Amino acid sequence: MTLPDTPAQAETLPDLAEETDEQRVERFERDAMGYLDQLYGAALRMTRNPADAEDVVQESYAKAFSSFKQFKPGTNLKAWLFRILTNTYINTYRKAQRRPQTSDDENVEDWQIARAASHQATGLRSAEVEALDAMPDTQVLDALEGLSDDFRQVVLLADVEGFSYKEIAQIMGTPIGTVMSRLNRARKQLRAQLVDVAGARGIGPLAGKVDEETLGQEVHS
Amino acid sequence: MTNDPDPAYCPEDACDWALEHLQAFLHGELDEEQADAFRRHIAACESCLDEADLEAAVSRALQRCNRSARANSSLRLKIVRMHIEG
Repeated sequence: MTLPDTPAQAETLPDLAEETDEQRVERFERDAMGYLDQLYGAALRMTRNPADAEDVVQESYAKAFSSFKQFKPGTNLKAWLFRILTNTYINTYRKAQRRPQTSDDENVEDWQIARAASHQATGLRSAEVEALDAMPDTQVLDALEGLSDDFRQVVLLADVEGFSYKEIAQIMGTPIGTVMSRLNRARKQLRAQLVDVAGARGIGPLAGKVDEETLGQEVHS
Repeated sequence: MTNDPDPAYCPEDACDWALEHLQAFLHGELDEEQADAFRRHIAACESCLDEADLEAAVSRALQRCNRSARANSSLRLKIVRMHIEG
């Protein structure tokens, strides 16, 4: 024999069928507005310009509010909002730009990337770690800038926003396997850029071997 | 001379596995069994440990350099007004 729902149980999640328009506005303000700063920060990283970031965020909130009736309370609101933000950015801004959407690297096999990772233990590793810990923001941001949109997006979502792979899959609309392989490739590319930048500035194992003017062209040792 | 394996030795395929799962490990995506296997490997393999240290440093740099900006209050107001007035 099951007991009927107690009033306490009925209050844990709103009954969407019973919700008035006013209650929905309240629910939206209470639940969704709390993510404004995070969404703005993410939009700023995508657009690199505060005015565009504001537009993307505003448009995203408009879309979120108009679909809020369909949003199931208790499910992942943050990922849902980020998905709307990502799609808004892609549909409004990315199409206007001429950046490559995916890197040419996407056809390289995972095992080839693993092999290419330098696999000798060298004492120079700790110098690289120091160089990374001391690296100015602009250099890190420049290296991020050098990634294709999809690669940059997956790194930002994983490392800056702290989403799980499953959430990233929801946000980017791809299978989890794609998230993992994109992240592996993106981080590999990012590492290479950061080490090159450090080398051009006389830090780490490539010190003196990288001419800053030829960065981006093939480096011959 | 002892019979202990050289701590720097690791069979190539173990390192391939570790390198392939490095990002997942750093991002907390491995289950406990896999995470323990990863930890055991880097405890025994200096070059994979170095690689993990480097990738952790990259993660730190990314977080440090991307501190979130706050939305200004006029944007907040615009959005609040927008859905109240329809």
